[in-house]
Amino acid sequence: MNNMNKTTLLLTPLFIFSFICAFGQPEYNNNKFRQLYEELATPNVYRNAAGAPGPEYYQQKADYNIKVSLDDSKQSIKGTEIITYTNNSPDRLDYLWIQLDQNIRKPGSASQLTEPSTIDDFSSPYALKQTFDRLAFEGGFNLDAVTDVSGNKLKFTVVETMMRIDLPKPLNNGEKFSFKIDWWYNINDRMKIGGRSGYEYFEEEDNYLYTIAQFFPRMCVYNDSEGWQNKQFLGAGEFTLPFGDYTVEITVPADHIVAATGELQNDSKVLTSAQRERWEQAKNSDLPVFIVTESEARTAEKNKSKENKTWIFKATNVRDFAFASSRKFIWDAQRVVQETKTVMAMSYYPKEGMPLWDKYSTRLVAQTLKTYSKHTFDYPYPVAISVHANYIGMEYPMICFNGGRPNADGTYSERTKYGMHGVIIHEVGHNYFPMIVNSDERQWTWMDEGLNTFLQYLTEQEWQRDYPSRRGPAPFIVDYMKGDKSTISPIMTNSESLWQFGNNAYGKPATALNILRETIIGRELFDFAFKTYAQRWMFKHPTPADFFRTMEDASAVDLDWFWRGWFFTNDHVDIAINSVKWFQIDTHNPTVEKGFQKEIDGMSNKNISGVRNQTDIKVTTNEKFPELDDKYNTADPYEVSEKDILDYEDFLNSLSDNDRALLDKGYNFYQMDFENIGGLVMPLIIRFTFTDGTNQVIKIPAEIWRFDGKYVSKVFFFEKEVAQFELDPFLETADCELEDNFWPRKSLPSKFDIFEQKGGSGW
Amino acid sequence: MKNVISILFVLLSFGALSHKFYISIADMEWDAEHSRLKVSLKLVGHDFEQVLERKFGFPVVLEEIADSSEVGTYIQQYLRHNFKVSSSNENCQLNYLGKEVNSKDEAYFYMTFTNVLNPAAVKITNKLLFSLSDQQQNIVHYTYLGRTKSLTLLPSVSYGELNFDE
Repeated sequence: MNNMNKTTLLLTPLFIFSFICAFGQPEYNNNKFRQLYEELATPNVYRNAAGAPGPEYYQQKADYNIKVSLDDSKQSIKGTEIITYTNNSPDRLDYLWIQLDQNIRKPGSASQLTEPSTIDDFSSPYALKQTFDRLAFEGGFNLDAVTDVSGNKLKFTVVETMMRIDLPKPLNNGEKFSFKIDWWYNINDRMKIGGRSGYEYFEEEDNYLYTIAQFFPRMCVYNDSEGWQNKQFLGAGEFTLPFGDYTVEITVPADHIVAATGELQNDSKVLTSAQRERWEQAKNSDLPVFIVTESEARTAEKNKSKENKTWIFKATNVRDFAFASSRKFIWDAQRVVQETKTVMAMSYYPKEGMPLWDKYSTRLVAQTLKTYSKHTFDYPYPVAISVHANYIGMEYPMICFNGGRPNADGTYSERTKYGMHGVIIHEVGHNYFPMIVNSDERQWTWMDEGLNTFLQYLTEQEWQRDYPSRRGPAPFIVDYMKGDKSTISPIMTNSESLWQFGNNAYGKPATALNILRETIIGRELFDFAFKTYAQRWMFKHPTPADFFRTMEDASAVDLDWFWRGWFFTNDHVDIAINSVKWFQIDTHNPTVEKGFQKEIDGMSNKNISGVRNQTDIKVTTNEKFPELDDKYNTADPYEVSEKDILDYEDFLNSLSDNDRALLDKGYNFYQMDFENIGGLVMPLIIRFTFTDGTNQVIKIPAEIWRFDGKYVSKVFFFEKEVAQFELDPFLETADCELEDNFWPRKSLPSKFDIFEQKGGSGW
Repeated sequence: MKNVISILFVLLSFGALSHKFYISIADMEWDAEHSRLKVSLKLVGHDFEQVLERKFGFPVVLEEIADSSEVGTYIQQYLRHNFKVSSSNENCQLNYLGKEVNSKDEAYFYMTFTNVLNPAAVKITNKLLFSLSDQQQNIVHYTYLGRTKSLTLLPSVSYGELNFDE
């Protein structure tokens, strides 16, 4: 054993340890375990201290009646809507705020003006073209009329991506107000200027695939925690929307197939009888059934109908509405049987998506509903749809637009396959967070993305054993969390100001939740608490405090320290074993102790003069004249005398039987000294490997750091002798520096070393 | 002062894969025994393919690119051009060793730097993928004699210095 000093521990027969505690006197309380009160809103009648909706919790309602028509020749959309707004708040409202999110594409919008750029943005022809295309695009809402339902003009003021409508008379608690907006806008080419929605143009056959969202003026949220949502849309912070009921009539070319939020109301008008028959089959099938076949789609692609058809959809208790339309769509569907409700999983994709999409998409939708529902609630909507839209992943209630396209020759790489799997699970999963557990995305991206990425990981692992998940397990976040903190913001940062959106709002919170589940709380307790949160806030608007409080309330685990460290700071985990000291109890047995002393003395180095004198001085005077000897220079210091034996007997007689038994065990005591380098306090999970090859794992809860968040020591004792000490052996704490987790220190090969040892080179 | 942006006009229509993980990690370690910097560089495979597609005008699958091919040679040139280390005002020499891509879409590039005059103080420029996204951040972790220091390089500040003498 290297680097370890064995020391005899002098214990009195009564085994009394005495120690001195020195407490510093900080000027203010910066203990890692101090309560989180200052950071969270005070509980009130709307949101209680347990993290549940309070007795006077309310939310507004916005019902929509929308008629839109798609102009396939101009790629524009024209619509008229009647919004019926119900004021359930106790407050009197003098005006309403509406979101006009398309306005980020208006030339000169704040979104364009406030986007930082460097010359790199102009340094490739592609980048240059994209920038000019984006600036030149005539996007944004054109409002033709804003009136009451009788056609009287309403006073309105447009402020960038929002619009204030001044009410003719104040809207009191319980009252409704209906009004009408007519609008149109140009649809963006997603492939050229990007966007969550837009169209993809298929040049060879001159066809379009539309994925349409944020396409109508939508109500802002008014609630107890924010009042009116008043953060402009700059492009990153997604949406904050009230629940309501929708009836939407979508007029498209007659040869288009439409996928949308909600249930189709007029299938007899828009589907062939064969398609309706297949739909009936799908409703009873546990595997996907084609409603629109590949050959039907290929036929539709070749002609362009001059006629129009209107598809009517109804959706209840949703926060938004989106649709996709194309004559290229193949459509398949299967049922998913849940305890309380059987629902339809479906996919719409162009032939370019095959053979990936027909094989996997709908079955991934079904898997997602299965795993997510287990951790939250049965999926309450009638359908869950995955639409193939190249390059993106974007979620709406019941429908999402997902990338992952095979190569033109039908082959696809492993990365494309798993990328497509991941994005479908993720976007379908968003039905739960934030479509149903309706958090404020404009304020907090992590509340939906983080929770969703966490469940995405659980789903991937239930889909395929050892699925190559990109986020979830602790070691995957280490690269991001360690090191330079100048561009890492805490998770609790507003959506529009996040550095490293993905790691900050998806990867880190997902990892934090996985660590809570695996290490801090445990799977069973965590799952109960997480489900409690989902069910408490299903079809409601939770805030971060509601999540933090519920997770503690339902698990009886105080997590203030965890939320504070992981969500309110940018600290990372790096705990080191600074030293280990080895002790054994003084047995008082002269045979044992003197033998031990001899061994120790034999191990120590002799000074150089002593070594040389052994040979240089052939014979000393004393050696020459033995009569000079007396007991002091002849006695063997390690010899056990009669007095020693008598003393030992006295000692043994003074011990109780229990004390004697303990002494006989021959315990090895190890004092381990730990240092918290990274800042985040975490449990100490230590694997002790003994000299006989066996091992034992001991887990110390994070509360060991509650007095001192920087240094802590702990004594462990075993009958066996320890050969190796190892911290976090199962890589569950996201410790960023592994070499200092070993005692004796161990050097671990880097990624580079492994590559070089493999004889790695290019191919 | 006026700088000229040199660009080659090829009209392309490859869309950018929209995701939210614009980050690269360079793990550098000083190898005193061999007087070299050992580097593994991790970035998002699809993003790097986008850069190559915009350059060449055809779809690129990294797994299929031999280092000796035209695209493979360009990759090395791209790395040399965008990832630089200097020490005592002298450029270090990048020696390319190879690459790996895994199913998580992580592309790894391995290389060493030699001619490092003072390994305790190095200046690093990392502009990888900046042309693709404003959000790209290039993180550098440098381990020198058992200590690690880090830098995050951004499109607005694409170089920085790590000094262990301070």
